[in-house]
Amino acid sequence: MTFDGAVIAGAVEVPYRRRPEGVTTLSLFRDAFRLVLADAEIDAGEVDGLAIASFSLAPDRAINLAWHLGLTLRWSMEDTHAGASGINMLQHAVRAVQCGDASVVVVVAADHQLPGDFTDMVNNFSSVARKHLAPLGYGGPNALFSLVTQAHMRKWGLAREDYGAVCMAQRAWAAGNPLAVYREPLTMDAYLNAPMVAAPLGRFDCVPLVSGADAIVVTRGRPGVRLRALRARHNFDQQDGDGLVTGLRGIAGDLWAEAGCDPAAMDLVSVYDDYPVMVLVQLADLGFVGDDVKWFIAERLAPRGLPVNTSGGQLSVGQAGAAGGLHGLVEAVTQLRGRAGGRQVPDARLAAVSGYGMVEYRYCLCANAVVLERAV
Amino acid sequence: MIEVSGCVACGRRLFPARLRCPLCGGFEFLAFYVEAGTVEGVTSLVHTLGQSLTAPVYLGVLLVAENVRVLARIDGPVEIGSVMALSFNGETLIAAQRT
Repeated sequence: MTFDGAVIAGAVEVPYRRRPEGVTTLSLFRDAFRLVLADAEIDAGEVDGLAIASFSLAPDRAINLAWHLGLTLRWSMEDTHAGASGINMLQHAVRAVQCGDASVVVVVAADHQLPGDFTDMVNNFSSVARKHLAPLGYGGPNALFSLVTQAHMRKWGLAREDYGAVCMAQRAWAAGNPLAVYREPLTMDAYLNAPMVAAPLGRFDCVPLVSGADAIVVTRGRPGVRLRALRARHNFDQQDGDGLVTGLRGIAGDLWAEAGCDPAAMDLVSVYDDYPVMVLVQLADLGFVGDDVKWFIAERLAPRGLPVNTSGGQLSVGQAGAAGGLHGLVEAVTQLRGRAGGRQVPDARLAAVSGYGMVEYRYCLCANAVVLERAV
Repeated sequence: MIEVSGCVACGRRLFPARLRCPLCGGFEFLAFYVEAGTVEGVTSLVHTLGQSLTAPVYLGVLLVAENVRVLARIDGPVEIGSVMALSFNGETLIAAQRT
């Protein structure tokens, strides 16, 4: 089944902020909803589908949010796949629109979390986290991905400077994004001398917790960005591996075949960047890297020859909980619509976006990817 | 020692325990006990959830059986490849130097 007919007609981000005053999760949802409909030039009365993701909306659910927004729906869903939630909701929303179950779907994610909320969330993220991770005092995913990073360093002969180059490149992109929380240039000295979090991860390797929201509108019969391909693979290795391969490895061939193009054709890429190591792992799984990771970082990422995470990524913009699962998608759509301002990739026509999320025991379970095309 | 589950049908060891064996699809499991594991990685956690820790927390990943890795607290820095004894202290999985 192709993706004909469905388009992404709007995409917005409610500016991410560190510990903002006077903000609630509901107010972030409201702001994203209002902004994305204005962006798509669609009246709220036309919305008949709603897909949401949030860690902090509880005890409310999607239908409670619909009530708050005064929506009468034909189609509703709530996604809990964290960094993979954006593409997962897109996958469902597109089919709903194609099949006629809904005509205008707002896909929206928002979170407002304080450090105490985050602690509670990571210690109760799943039954396994509650039983096997929280008692270790693991403190969230930083410690887990420090171990993944160590394994990655050993496998590819990388040094901390290589991951620093990834962070610096994304920070350079962030300089052109007025919505990024951190826009000042990042130097290698600053990266290497930042306080250690969990060796070898320092402060700049770990996404800062922020509040914010992202939204897209999926509909048909309007101008917009269209999908060429979308694939997902979750729990592909039963957590038996070392975390250095994701489900993307198994879907890349079908993804590119369905898209009718290859990685070299991409004008930009958004990969879920909770940690720089996962930027490199996802890019490798999708076929962008080749056999020399160190060369790829030095020659393709650092000079920004391959535009990756052009918003600055979550490493510069911040991680707004479940909204982070939509962040890369919103950035790619913004670029393909030619609305990225100072960070605009010239004549961007094709983009790849990947999602990665849901820590189970040692790394994440979920992965998905989409290839997007600018409307002609 | 620590308890891992083993599939009755195919013998596959699993930790954490599952509802269904990912290898053969079996639903029946028995408890098996593992005394030690080999350190594959160790990190020193010094900052967590907005706070600096007063002392580093050492966490390691240890191979305890084919395809079975566990995360455990370690009482200090250790070399990769070290074989360490495993036990539960209350709910916390602990890896300690073998004596």
